[in-house]
Amino acid sequence: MAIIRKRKGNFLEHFTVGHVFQHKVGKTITEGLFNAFTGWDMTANPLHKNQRYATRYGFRGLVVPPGLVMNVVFSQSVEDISENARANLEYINMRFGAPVYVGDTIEVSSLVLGVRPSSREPDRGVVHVQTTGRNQDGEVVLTYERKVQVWKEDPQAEVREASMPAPEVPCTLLLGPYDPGRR
Amino acid sequence: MTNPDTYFEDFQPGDIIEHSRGRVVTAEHIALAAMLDNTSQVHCNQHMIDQSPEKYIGGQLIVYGGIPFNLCLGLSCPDVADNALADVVYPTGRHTGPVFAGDTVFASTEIVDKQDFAGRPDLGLLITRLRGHKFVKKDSSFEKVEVFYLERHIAVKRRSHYAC
Repeated sequence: MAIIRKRKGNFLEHFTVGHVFQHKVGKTITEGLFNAFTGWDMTANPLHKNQRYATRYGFRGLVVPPGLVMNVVFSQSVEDISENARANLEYINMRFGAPVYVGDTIEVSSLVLGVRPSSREPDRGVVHVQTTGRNQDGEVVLTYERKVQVWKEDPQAEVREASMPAPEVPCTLLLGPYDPGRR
Repeated sequence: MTNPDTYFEDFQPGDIIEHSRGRVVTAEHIALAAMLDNTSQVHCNQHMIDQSPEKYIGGQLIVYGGIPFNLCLGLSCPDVADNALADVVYPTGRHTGPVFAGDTVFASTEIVDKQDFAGRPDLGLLITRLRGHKFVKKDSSFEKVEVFYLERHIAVKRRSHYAC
């Protein structure tokens, strides 16, 4: 018999440059999630509202708006990367690839590109990651870097600054072909 | 189906479009973060904040950044993105100020440049800066505070190819 209280997420001293997190769980974009978000986020592009319009422009169905793609991919990375963050500092080079549809399943991984302890505050530092979301066919739907300020678990823990260059992630924006007869 | 004045030809570099609508963020932000499986405690664990409020920005639950990010995209949509076929790339973005429940988010878009879209003569690439802001009560008036900054490249339909 024991009382167990597990640590959730990682703190600054737990990140190693070059490590790849295959984030747990994954996320299927259900109609419920799509409706809840597009009913709230004030988007007005008919690609996200009008199936006839979306298919006329070469999409398979209603298109998941970019903000929801970003939110799903980002949130999948939170437990491993920023559960113990103080502040999200920067998004870098966020690129969109394959369009996302209701019914698609998004799975996400993050490569640790850098760890830098704060020079002023001994209890925190910055983690730099490259996060990539893929659909069920392995196509990249979104890839980006972000920098986030993360707490140390032990304020006395020694953390060495380290970094690596971001590898190029193949990410091609996929659109329906241009149809001169389409209006 | 779309506004007649948001085709690629309609945008002038240098213009700043102040998007007309605003949207309050309520305690719904907790449900939205949960719906996305965002587990970060700074958005939903009130007791954790109450124990050491000085440790946390604003000393209260902070709204998950993806919420104002998404709202700014949505608020800007009818003015700059309803004739878009895709958002292409966000070269950089930052949360320049915190958002808390009760804040009303507004957005503006600066048109920076217009470029051809490689391989697609029917589209143009609109280079923009999207900013989010809120108003904070100061003495007897309101101070405008920036909360979000995003460089945003959008693939927008050309009137020459699409307008009836």
